[in-house]
Amino acid sequence: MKRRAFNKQIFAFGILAPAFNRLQKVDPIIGHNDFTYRVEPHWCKADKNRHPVRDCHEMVLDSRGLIYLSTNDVHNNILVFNKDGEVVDAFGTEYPGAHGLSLHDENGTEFLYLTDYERHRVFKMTKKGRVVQEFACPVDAGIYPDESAFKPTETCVGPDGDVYVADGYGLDYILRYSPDGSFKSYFGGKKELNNAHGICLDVRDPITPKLLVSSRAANQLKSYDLDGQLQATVDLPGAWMCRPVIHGDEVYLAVLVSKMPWDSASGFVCILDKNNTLISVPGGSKPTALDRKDGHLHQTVRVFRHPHDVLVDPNGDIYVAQWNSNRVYPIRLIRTQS
Amino acid sequence: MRYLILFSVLCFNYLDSMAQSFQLAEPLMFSDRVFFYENCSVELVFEMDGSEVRYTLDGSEPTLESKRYTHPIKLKKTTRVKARCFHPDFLPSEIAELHVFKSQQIATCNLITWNDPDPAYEAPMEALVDRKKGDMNLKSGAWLGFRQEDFVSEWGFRQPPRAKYLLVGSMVNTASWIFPPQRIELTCIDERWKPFQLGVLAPDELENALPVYQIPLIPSNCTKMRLTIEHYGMLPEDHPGAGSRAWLFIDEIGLGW
Repeated sequence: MKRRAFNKQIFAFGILAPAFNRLQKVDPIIGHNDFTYRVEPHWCKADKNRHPVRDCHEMVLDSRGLIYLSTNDVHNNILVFNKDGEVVDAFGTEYPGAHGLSLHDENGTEFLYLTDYERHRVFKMTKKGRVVQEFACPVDAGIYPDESAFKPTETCVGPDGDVYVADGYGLDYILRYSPDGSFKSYFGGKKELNNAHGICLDVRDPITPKLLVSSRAANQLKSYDLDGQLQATVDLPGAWMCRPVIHGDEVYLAVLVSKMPWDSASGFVCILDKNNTLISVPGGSKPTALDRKDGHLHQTVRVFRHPHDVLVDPNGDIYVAQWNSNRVYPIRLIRTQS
Repeated sequence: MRYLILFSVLCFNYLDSMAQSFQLAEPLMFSDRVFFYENCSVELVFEMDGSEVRYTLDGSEPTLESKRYTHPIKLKKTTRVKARCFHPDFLPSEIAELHVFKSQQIATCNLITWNDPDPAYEAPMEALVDRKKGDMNLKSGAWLGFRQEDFVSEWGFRQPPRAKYLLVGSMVNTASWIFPPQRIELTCIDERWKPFQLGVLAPDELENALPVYQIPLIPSNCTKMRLTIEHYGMLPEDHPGAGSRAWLFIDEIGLGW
């Protein structure tokens, strides 16, 4: 070998070796136990100029695999994405406080329930945004001074079709309405719930369905029977959790922050097993942190700023919508194969 | 061949830039006492397998060569603890800091005159000298809030305190309209002399935090002094509450070493 050529090879190897070395690095993995994830920050392909978002509040998945996102940007309060993150539909310009978004299959037809805490209403609408029913403040119930105190954050539909509304930015009541919209009863309130931010129907035990309610500022998840009797409380110290989302046997929760003030960008995700025991905290403390005396959960990796909702798809991948996070679109966590 | 090498290098570097590198969050820092007479203990918490927390006590930036945290740190003098998390798969965290202060006991009996806080945030005067640092909870009973006026108080001591620093615990939480004081001044008003300034500080940090201002004092035999903590005044023009007055929050006043 000529000396010059040899030098060249040495030179090339010198440059390439570190690159090869780095290529062997795998993407960082977040989460614990069997629930670990690779982060895909740029899953969403939306164009900020065409489909802007402010706070991304909540997401649901319909039977066709489309993802609906609620945002308080009145250019398009609902954005609809396909699984590749492309916008396939956008509607809604009259919901400045667009927040909770739930989906309910009513005899084969799916409806969206959107809460608007600024308009003090819950709107039931088709998947194209046509409003078919409204749920207003039950002023006659005698628990509200006026309609403006009612600031609903979440809705779920019970097994009998009754609609439960969480007044999480208002007086923290859980209000129960008949399917026809008439007010039936209430439970909760500020003595029992502190920022009743989310609610979902828990049918993991099909014989005794329950309601799971987040008491965000108390860092608690509470379980009620369908008549509002408190059954159990799960403490997650440090976790200002938004709404509970059930997928399979697990409960998934977006945690907005883990330390004050609210703009501390200290959020993460929590996953509880069928016994409501913490098993994974993507972006946060290992679950055994709660075994310590005075232990509480905190952010460990700066993947998220302020997660506000999670959606879990059939593959177990998680989509995370974020509040007050520089107008970012939802990001995806790809579940790793164990 | 040359172009092939160049192309390969570019490809690898491009792929490398695609690799994600997230940053660790800072460790949590706790102390049993922020103000102490003999000693205090500082605990660092970061609940992540594979990570380590390294810290310094001399004000320097923690690196991978700094001391590794294994158990609570016992401190006997005023110290600024700096800590940082490391993990092979993630970028090192920002630096977290905790400042603890060796300070002498003063009491409300040293307090001669003062003006009361706003009724909305009216902790007793004892809270000012209890050596307990308040947290971001405004209603915890640790905080005295002032809105309309400065905090002006006079203090008397039998013996000259001979402290090196005046310590003032405060809060900055701009979203809650709580701004730092404009100016903190300690003046000697001992009848033996004309009034003279013992120390002064004009804080300028607007970052949300729980600062303890440490104001160097000139040595003196002064036994009677006036502390003035000047209110921020009106909220800045770019603040959502512009046009209203800011809040001044104080939770502790001490004399440090």
